[in-house]
Amino acid sequence: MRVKAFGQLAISLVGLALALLALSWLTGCEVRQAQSSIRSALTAADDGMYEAAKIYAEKAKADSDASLERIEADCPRPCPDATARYRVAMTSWFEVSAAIKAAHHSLEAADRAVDVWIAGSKMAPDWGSICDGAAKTIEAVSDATAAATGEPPPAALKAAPAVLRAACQATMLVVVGAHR
Amino acid sequence: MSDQTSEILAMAFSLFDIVTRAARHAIESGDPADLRKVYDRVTDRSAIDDVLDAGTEAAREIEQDGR
Repeated sequence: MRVKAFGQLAISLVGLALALLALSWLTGCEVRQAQSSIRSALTAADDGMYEAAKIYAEKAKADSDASLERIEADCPRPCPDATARYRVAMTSWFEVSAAIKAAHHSLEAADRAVDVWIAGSKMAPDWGSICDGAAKTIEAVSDATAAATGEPPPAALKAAPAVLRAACQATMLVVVGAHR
Repeated sequence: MSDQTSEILAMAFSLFDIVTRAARHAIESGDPADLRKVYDRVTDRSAIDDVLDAGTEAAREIEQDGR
């Protein structure tokens, strides 16, 4: 009877140990999954911006050609301030370009924080502000393209900051859970 | 097969199932380190920069009357 009871206890303990091992492994997977997810979100946002830029480049080219024609029509050759006139005429597109660069750099900064998280299992303490900063720079891209085109930004670009913020918050939950 | 053996086998299979599903999930999620490829591909320059650079060059030629 006693032998049977010890046998059951031993089996239960082995089972518990296996279950804890599996749970620990699963928690590791959850962190790894979160790292993959946030990195996917950041790179997708960056890639999406450059894909959008390819589409907007056609509109920028049309505006650029029209600006050059106007400069040639308004200013006799050689036109001493043609470059300055061009920059003024294309201000909104230069702002789009600058906004895309700023967003790219902020997404890279967020990605570097994910690198640190992967390497040392510790997320930057200011992750929330890093991620929010990245979302804000994407909002700036959305605003700049709307100003340059005179049209509302595409739904995907408009939704991107909220999607990124949600991904950042999901990451925070996993980080807090893993460090608890 | 005794009830006890059945329970142990059921538990083992259950754990195996959990671990297998988790492993598949991890594999499907991809290695976070591999996801850098987009950053490797994307540079600071966008297609709009190409347009602006070409336009600025054309404006410079108008300025110098070389077009």
